[in-house]
Amino acid sequence: MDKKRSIVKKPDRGSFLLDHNSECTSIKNKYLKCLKKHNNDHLSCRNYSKEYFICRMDKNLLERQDLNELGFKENELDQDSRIKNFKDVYSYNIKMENKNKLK
Amino acid sequence: MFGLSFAFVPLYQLFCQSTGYGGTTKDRIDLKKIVDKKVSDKNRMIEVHFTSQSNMPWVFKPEQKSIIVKPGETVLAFYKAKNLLNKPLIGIALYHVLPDEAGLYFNKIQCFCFEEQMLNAHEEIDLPVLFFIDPDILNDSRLTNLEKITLSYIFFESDSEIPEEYQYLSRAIAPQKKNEIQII
Repeated sequence: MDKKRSIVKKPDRGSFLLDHNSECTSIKNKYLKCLKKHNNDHLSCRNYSKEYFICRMDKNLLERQDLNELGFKENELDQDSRIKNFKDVYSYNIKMENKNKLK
Repeated sequence: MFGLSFAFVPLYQLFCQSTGYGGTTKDRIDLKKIVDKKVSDKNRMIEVHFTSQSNMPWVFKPEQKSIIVKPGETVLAFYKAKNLLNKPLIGIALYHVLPDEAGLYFNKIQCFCFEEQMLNAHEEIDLPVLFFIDPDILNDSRLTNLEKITLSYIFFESDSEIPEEYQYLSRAIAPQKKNEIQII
């Protein structure tokens, strides 16, 4: 038997409550649509993730908390996709590495 | 491999029962500290791929093929599950991160794993995951050329009993197929 130990950690705050009435599904769909539009760069769709959590809190599907506690920063704006001008993550990383080397 | 995965199920149930949903605040990861961590290659991105497997009569799929993230940023992703049966079913999900070394840096803030989830008959539900990749991954010499991490989820059927109320509830709210009575 393969003895490789893989590390799997339990989630920090447990499970999300299930949205049985699909109350926040429309926002989820907006988020997913945004991701497709921006080459899956999540930072471009930050507003929708924020909206999703606010929706959950409003419908009692999530404990009320400051958005900072979910990792959102003040004045974080939707940015244009970071890797829009690159074929993939690999080419983006190489370009950034070379940029750093030149400094 | 399946035998080993099955062994994990009761182990993680134990973990969940000990922490529960409202864990003490001092045990929570301080996200502000993670987000501000300084690392050398600040602009390195990683593509997280999502895959799924279901060992039960649920359709279970990721709702996005991949998301491009920077270590330190919290990221929201979705899976979707649909119960194909005529009765409620309880499932429990486990996840696995590849490559194995990356698992150390993959942090779930909140998800749908390790705890039992019940879906009513024919119910379809959104399953969100909130995670981040620890910026320390950029300092790990084994992972310098890492561009891709795969998050893989698998749902198993739980042998917990469904509370009686739920068994009758799904029958009560099932659409009535009677013909409409017309009042002339």
